[in-house]
Amino acid sequence: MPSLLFNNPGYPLLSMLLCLPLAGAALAPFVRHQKSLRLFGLVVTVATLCSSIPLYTEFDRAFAGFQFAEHYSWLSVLGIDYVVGVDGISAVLVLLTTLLMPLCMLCSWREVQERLAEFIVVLLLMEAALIGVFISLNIVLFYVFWEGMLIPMYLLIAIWGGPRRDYASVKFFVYTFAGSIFLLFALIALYVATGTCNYPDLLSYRFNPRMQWLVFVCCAIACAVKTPLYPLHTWLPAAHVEAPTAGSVILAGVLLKMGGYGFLRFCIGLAPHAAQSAAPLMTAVALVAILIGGCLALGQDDLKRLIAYSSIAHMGFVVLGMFMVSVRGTQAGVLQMVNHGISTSALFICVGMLYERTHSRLLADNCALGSSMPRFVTLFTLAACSSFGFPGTNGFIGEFLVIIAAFEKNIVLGACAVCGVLVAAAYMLRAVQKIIWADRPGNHQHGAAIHKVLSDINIREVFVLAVLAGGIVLIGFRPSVVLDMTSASVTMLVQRLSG
Amino acid sequence: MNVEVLLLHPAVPFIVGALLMPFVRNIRLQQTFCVVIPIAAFVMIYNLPASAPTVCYLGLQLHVLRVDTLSFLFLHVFCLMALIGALYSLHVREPDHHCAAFLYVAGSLGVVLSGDYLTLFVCWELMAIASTLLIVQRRTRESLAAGFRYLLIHVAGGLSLFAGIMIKYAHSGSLSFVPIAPAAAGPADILIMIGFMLNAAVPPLHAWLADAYPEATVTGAVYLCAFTTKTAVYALCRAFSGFEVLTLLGAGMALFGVCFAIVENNIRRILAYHIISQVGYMVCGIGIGTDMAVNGACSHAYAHIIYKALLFMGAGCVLEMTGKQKLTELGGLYRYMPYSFLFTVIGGISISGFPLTSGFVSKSMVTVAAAEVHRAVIFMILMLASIGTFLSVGIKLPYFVWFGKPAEVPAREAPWNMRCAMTLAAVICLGIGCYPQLLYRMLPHPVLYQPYTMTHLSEALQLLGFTGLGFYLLAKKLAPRDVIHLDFDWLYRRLARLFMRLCRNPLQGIDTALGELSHRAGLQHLMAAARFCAGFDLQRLDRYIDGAARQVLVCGERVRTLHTGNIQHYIGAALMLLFLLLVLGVFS
Amino acid sequence: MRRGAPLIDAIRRRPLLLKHLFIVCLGCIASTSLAVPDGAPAHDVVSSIPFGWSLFGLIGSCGLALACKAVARRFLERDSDYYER
Repeated sequence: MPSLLFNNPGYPLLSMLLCLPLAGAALAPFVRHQKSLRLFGLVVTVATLCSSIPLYTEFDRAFAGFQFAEHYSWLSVLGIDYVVGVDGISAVLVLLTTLLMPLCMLCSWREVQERLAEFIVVLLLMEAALIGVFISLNIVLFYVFWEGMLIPMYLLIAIWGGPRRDYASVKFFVYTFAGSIFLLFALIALYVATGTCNYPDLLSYRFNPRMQWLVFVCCAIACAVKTPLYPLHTWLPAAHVEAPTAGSVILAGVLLKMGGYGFLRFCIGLAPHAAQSAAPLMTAVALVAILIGGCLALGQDDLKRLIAYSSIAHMGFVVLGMFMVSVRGTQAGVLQMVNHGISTSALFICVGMLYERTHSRLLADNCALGSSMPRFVTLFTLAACSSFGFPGTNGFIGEFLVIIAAFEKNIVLGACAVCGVLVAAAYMLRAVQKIIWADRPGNHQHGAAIHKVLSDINIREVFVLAVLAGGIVLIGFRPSVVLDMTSASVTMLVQRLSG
Repeated sequence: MNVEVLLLHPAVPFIVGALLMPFVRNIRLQQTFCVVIPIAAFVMIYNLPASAPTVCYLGLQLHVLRVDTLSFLFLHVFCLMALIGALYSLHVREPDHHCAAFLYVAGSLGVVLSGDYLTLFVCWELMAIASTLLIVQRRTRESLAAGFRYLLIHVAGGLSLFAGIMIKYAHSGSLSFVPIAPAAAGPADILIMIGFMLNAAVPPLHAWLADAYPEATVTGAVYLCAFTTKTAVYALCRAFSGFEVLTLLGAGMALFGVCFAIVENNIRRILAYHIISQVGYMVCGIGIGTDMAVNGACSHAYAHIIYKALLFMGAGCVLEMTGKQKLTELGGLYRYMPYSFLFTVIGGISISGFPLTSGFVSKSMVTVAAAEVHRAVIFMILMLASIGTFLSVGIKLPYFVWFGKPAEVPAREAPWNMRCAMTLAAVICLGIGCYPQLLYRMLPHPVLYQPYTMTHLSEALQLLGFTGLGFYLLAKKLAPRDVIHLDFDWLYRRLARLFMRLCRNPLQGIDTALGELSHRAGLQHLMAAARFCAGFDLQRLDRYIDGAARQVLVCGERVRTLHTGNIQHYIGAALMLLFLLLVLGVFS
Repeated sequence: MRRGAPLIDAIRRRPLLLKHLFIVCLGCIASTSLAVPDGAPAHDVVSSIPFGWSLFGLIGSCGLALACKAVARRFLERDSDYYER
């Protein structure tokens, strides 16, 4: 039974993390000039990042429950209280969110020119909603933030997106909303059965098998749409292709993690028995996602679609790790979530930079850049290597741990996972090869004409990619940075699963 | 992590060099680095501790510095080869060439010194990436395509190795890189062996070698020919000594390589097939597993690295100076490039096993070991492969490149650094040939073999002499033609194309259909239902509500007429209402 | 090496001399097979035949060259641009 630790460092840390972006969103419309607006947005997100640093430094790594907890009564008659807290898993995801937001601001510096105030507001609201999802310990509050995140994302795609943004934004909204209905149903059922909406209290209940299956199936559907797992994934490529760079970064970097987080908290946390029984099915679904997502990515010519399908494959690894019913597997799943957040964000930022210069996302139009954009190409190759798990990068550690866990379970499982890594290497290296070197025959003049005006990435862009590259290399060489934080909570979670 | 342990590793100067090289602009400084780093590593290998502490990483104990006679031999030749390669590439101004070469050497030193599979795997992958860079840096279309295929196949081999390591760890909890008994080999060991065999270019996993090496840079090929395959040989020697399958595969590949080399046209492709053939001797020796056989494999690896590098350096000089590497386009170059000619001939006679060269004292150990264990067929196959070696690279290659019909290609002698590197390699070849003890005292097992016996000399000279006669009789038949020959890579390329087509069309079609399904089954129906509800709402519900509102208005209109404005009417109505109420109250 | 190339040119201008020298060398080498003691047991197969290794060398080289060329020509030969098509 996880307890709450009210170890706030003198001030309500998590509420502050929630309120800073909200306050920023409220004040943004009053800032006049475009440049000041951008600076304002950057300052707010950096301030949130700095405020989240105590989450790492003051974190008690030996404690398995929820820390930095706050509990205020709100609508107690309905069981809705303001209860927030983080354990190892949510802490790393909050840190990932606060890290990615300033980078989103920076990479949209030149890209977003119109309706800048609204853009900043939308981004800050999204940050608040995402942080809210990860810190909420009351299921109604959780649901509010879970759904609340949809609207800013919808606006982001619908207003600042590409040519087919209407189709993509509506598809994204309706699809994920439809999935969330199941989650709502499960949450209501939980409340009716227990009379409480607070997650730590819910954890102390041992639900009967029928209730567990109900909760598991409903939450699994909702999370499968969010993650996304094949075949409920078709909203993702459309959304990614049409979203602006910041939208893609948030979508891939954090939004998809909500699905994985939901699996851990609800499917595995509240319905351990059902999760154990359903583990083979979930593992099979994850493997299908890994292999088919990879194969689909291999056939793509649009860079953003390629990375979108690779996200599906990576999240397949995450789900595979989670349902291994072992500490190593679940740790690997959580680590892979963080890794995916960093490396895929880097890849989307790279594609955004390319699009700003060549106005095309097609591989054929973005080739042979090795000589004209060496800095870009180096950082892009590092992100690509991390994506397919090359040793020395964070991706390798995550995949290594997942594959060990898979082989410990079953040789065939491990073999399929290894094939998934091979396919990942194939599509990523194909993209890298084409971008750095390949030249279209007979297109030299056109290519040369474009390449004459192509400038290498400037200081701002280098900084953004360098931060992510630093994360890739840091976790690649010292994975304990993440693994130490999550080990206690994951161990407790797995004990519940097997106990 | 024990940093002190890591600092003693001879790969460290190479990694430091690779990291610093992009920032060194001065060409003289670059050249100094290139030469000093291998020398520093060479010195370091003599000062390695006999036993080093393990490094803790991810909860595992990793042995990054495990040195014994076997690994020392390979370290010795790798550092020597790094020096030769560095000398050969002194004229290259692009720092990324040197970076890639250094990382490549660092990776192979890491593999040789690793005592556990995880370190081995990480260094293995580093070698794969670095060697790919050496290929694609040539920046031609063919080299880019070849480099991509090369990397993909090496990643696949690395994954087989990785899978084997993971299964082994999952079952036994141990990652130690130690000899495996043939009787105790399980699926994990088979997968690991496949990973090693791919790098050793054992058919049918060999096609990448002949595909990629001819497309590499001139200096890159010199590095490539030495490290990947011999690192794999080391790994096989360490873990899989005595496995019968290696004996058979080794003999087969020795013959396979020379068969292709006899018919090929591209110089570096011929030499690439020869690598397969010579590695076959090593793999066969490892498979036989006796002390003599392992000694033979190791000594052959040592000698082979040097004379193969010499041959590739010669071919590289020709390519660098003339821009051509096909036999049909070359000829009569001995006049213009006499030094290159001399050194290539020394390399050619070394590989053929002429007396007084390193090939004579190393290759024969493997064949004699096969004879000692009464493997007559294996022995014959290896001798036949020797004949083929001399035929193709001892006579055919020099004849058509340096003699033959003079081609109209402008050529001049190679620069001083290339000649210097070739001189060093040639001196080592001849030195080992004349004083075999220089090599024998480094071998892992005590050497009881005496190469310079009358029998052996007679055998070798007869074989070589009459092979020469055979060439003389069939010279016209052996003349090269400007064609390519299909190898196993035809299969891979066809399968890959098929797989890509599968990913693009059927799979993508299914995915698009799935997306449309959500649109048709979900969204369209949802919109239809919404429109129906809106219609129902507007036409029916609203109509009733509007109708009710209209009725209220009508009633209101009617009721309004009751307001006459006359006070007598209101008093009269009120009195009537009061009377009615009283009546009702009295009589209820 | 300045004297090397003219030396080789001089030799090439005298093909008949070269041929005779070659035959003499081959004769000497072949005769060593009679003079030299036998090697280890497995060598008996070839060493037991007079001029065994010489015949093995000649037949082996001719057989290998002819067989490889025949197989390559029949089944494996393709134009240089085969894979680009």
